[in-house]
Amino acid sequence: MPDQPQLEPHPITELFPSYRCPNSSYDELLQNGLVRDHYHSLLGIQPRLNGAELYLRWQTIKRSLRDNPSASTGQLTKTDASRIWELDPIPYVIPEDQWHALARGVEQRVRLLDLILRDVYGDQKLIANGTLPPEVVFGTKNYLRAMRGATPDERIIYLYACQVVREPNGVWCALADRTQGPSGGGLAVENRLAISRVLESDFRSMNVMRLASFFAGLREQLNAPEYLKTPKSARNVLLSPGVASPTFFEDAYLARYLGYTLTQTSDLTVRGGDVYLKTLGGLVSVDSILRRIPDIDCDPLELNTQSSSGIAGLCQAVRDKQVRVANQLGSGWAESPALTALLPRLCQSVLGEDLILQNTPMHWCGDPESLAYVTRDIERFAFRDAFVRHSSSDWYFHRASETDRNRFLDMLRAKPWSYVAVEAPRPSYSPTWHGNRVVAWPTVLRLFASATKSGFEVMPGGIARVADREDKVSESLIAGLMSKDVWVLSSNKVKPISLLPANRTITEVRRSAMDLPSRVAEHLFWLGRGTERTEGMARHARLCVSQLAGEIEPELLGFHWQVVYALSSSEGTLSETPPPDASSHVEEMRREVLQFLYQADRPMSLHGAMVGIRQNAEIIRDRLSFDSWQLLSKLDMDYLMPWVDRREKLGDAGVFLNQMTTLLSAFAGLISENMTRGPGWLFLEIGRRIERAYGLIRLVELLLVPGGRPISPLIESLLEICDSSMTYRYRYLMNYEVAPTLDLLLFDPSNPRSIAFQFVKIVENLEGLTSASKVDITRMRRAMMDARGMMRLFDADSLSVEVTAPESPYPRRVHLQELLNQLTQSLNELVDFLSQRFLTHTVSVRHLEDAANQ
Amino acid sequence: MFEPIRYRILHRTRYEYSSPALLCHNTMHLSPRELPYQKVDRSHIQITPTPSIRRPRLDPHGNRTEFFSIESQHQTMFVEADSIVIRSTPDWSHAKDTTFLSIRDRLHSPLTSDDRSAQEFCFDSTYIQSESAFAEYAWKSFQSDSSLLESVTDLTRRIFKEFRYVPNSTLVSTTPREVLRSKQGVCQDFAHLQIACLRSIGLAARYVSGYLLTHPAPGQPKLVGADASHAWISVYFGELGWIDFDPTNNAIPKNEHITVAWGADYADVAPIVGLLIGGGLTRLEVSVDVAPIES
Repeated sequence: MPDQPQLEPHPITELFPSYRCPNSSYDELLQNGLVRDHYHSLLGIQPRLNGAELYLRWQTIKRSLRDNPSASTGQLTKTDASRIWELDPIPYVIPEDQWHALARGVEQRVRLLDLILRDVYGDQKLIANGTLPPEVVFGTKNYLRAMRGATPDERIIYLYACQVVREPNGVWCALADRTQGPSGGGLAVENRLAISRVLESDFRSMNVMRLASFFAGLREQLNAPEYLKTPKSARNVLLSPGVASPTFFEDAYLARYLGYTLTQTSDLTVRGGDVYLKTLGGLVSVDSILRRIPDIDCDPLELNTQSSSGIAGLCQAVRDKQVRVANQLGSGWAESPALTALLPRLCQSVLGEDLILQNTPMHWCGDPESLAYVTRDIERFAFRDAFVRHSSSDWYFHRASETDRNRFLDMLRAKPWSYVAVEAPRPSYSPTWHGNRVVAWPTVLRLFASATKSGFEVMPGGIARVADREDKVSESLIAGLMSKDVWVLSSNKVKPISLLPANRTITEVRRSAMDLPSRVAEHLFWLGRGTERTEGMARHARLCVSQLAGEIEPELLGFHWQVVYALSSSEGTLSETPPPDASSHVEEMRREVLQFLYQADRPMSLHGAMVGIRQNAEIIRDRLSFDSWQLLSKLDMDYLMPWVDRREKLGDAGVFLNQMTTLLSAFAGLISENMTRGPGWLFLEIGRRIERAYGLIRLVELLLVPGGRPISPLIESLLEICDSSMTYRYRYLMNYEVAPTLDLLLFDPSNPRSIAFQFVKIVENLEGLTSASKVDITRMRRAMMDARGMMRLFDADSLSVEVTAPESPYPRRVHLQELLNQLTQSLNELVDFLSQRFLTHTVSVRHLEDAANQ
Repeated sequence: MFEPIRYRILHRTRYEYSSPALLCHNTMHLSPRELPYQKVDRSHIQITPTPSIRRPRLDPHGNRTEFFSIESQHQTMFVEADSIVIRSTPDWSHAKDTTFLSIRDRLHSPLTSDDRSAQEFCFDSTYIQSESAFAEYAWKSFQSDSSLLESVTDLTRRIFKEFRYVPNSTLVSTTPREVLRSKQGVCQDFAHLQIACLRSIGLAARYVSGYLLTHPAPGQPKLVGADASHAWISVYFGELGWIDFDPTNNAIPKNEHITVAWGADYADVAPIVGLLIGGGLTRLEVSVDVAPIES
């Protein structure tokens, strides 16, 4: 298709001085030195626009993209994994006519693979008639014998991805098929949202095809009611490997987008042959599982007897049609490179058609002709395990030593069928914004197809992965350095449809949400505790900084020591009692505070506490609102105090500590004002209340229990940390005494920082849990009310009395200590109770001892 | 002595846990299968405590298997398989004309659909990975023009003679390679080893689980492995089908072996496998009683 340039072009070297595509590769942008039609308007090439203006356009777009981080790039825990999802502002563009051929090819491949899978897990006609060599099926663990005959005639693939490159002659070829639980579909939608925002007018004027209907179709197929033996409430879950996976953010995004519950295997259990989600309200039956973990890890009873993780009994539930698993267990086998290499032949015999989307050159060595062909010119090839989906273990003949070559040839002769010889793909180059320039980078596409009622539908778009070197892009989604959105252009006007899933079914009105997975409740509980504790730590540290940063009055040094000691007490480096001459120890105190602030690996440090919060939040990100997410993402030392050299100066910390307390207060405010009072909120809230009570008890114990010393400066500090100074001064002026302090911090139910207040709230929240769940918590509620009642037996005056025990040189407020002990014990009981009744239990799951033969 | 014999088989398995188990999902292969030379009159499995579900079915190899779950708190699980089987001696008198090479070629370039389904048993499986050492060991019994029956019989005899039967010397997970090195094991190890040898030289071999007559007729020696479930192998012989060999007893099974199930290796046919939540330490007791009864 010749491109007819309609504009008087600037020389391309002037517009994009850094854009260079090797002559031997297909150039996506240029043809005969001219920009191809479909990139013209996108890049902003107009007759009189020069290189400098183009540069400005893309720099602005890139900046706006960076200022609106998406879920993938805005992960809270910074890992290498999050960096690879950076999004290039320049989309990869495919004109309509080229797209149709490509999409037909993708559709044909998935249709073919689904039929092959049905056959090998069904009556195996393809093996019986000699089309499919048996070693490709029985020679690998990827083929799950347990699933043979499990769901006859049912579809096996629901979601499919295909990794595609464009060869130098301009023809697209497939690198690999992904049939296990392909990732990237959610990322494509997410990328589209981000790019269509920053390129809004181009997006509309270029008639880019929409992705919206893609997942709607998938949802419909997963819920097709005729499949299940006993249709249930359409409870669907997305089964994720968890937060350690590089695509976890996408699992969370997709779960939210589809309205599925995000789960891990430990959330699911099989009872009475059916699959259930473990929730706060009990077991909830599950209709379908969209699977993102390898099939072999799904059922330790039947699929991987070496492991004890997974959902024991799942295979049987699938056989009994109690649950639909997508893709069906066993589908991972179709990713075997040996099968990929055989597709051209299989396409002929299964569909009676030519394979439209051919493979990049690959040869299955189990075929004698292919083996002969490969051995004739062996140095050209990389050898891949015929059943390993990754190219990372590729073995290159020409790079090996003489001995290794001979050893390899022996293995190849012994089991030729276990190798596939591949030639390095030769990807095309596309324009990419890198280092403030447009450069040409090698490009691989990932395209998606999903089930429809009658077949498969190809997503009109996808993800392009680019990198600065050809060998960095591969058959893997996470290979490469950046993603691109893929724009398929339509010749007709595209109707704007919302990307948000169309609500086709009428949703039943529900008020309660006790189907919250227990694991999620647990994380919310810990998030509540973590944020509260960190807020206390930040307030405390802020006080220490302000006391130590400036000039210090010598007579206050001893008090400051006490306050710094209380910051991390036994886990810090300071001794409990100040040295006789504390003035020489100012540096020691400063060092202690700095370590508390910045040393992430210390058991108690602010830095570490923030990491903990972000990790916790990451796991339940699908449960957090965008605003909460924004707030928590800023709880990051690299954001709050990015200058490492300034982390040595105490004075500089004050600013970020202020910022932190503001962020955490804002988070608390969001929770109290914007979060539905469901069980999730209750757990978050109970977590906060428990932690606040613990923190207060600890401070009072460290600062007020020891007697025999002047105390007003300590009281002042304590009130400051507990955000109660204003109230105190308003009531008692500057007259700092123990009894009124204890009254305000322990007994005053109107002070939201007092212990009494925490207990009142805990009792209220427990009541909320009773009505929402069926778990009987009367006993615990009564225990909490008793604890609250017990407090009434004490009065602030008697608690202030110091007693000198015969064995101790120092007087102590022993009654106060006793009260604090009792309160701590009540809280401990509450925590134990909650974790036993509601939260996940680490029970041992193991295989029965084997009744082996003798 | 090769007349059909009617047997009653009682296979009891008892698990005792040191602390209560909350949930247990299991699959079992305890019901004998029907064969041209084996008729199953009765097969009944009693499980205590009563499972919340039982799902009998045929597995992909045609064995009778069953999934069951116990979902009430329990500290013992007792499984009793009670079967009545009539077993005759298969007739392999024509088998000696089949040559090793003819079968190997057929498995390489299949002629019939039987050949193709037999190919399934030519490859590695959960417990059996082929290695050149197994081929080396096997080749001493095989020449290209030799009779397959004689060669496999010779291999069976060599394993019987060169390997020591030592109860409890190995685990389920012991590999054929370790057995080849240590030259000792139990029936399951010898079966796995012989299968590894046969597959390594291009033959199709499968694992057979079953029972032996516990108390032989007066004057007959008691067979090894008779007090528990037993294991032997089966080799593909083309049109003749599959012929069994028992390396533990240096024999071709006749009417004193009772077949329960077969598969690629032990993993496909384990009597009971289960996954347990809770339970603490386990004590396991197995007893098998195979006795001829009056018809």
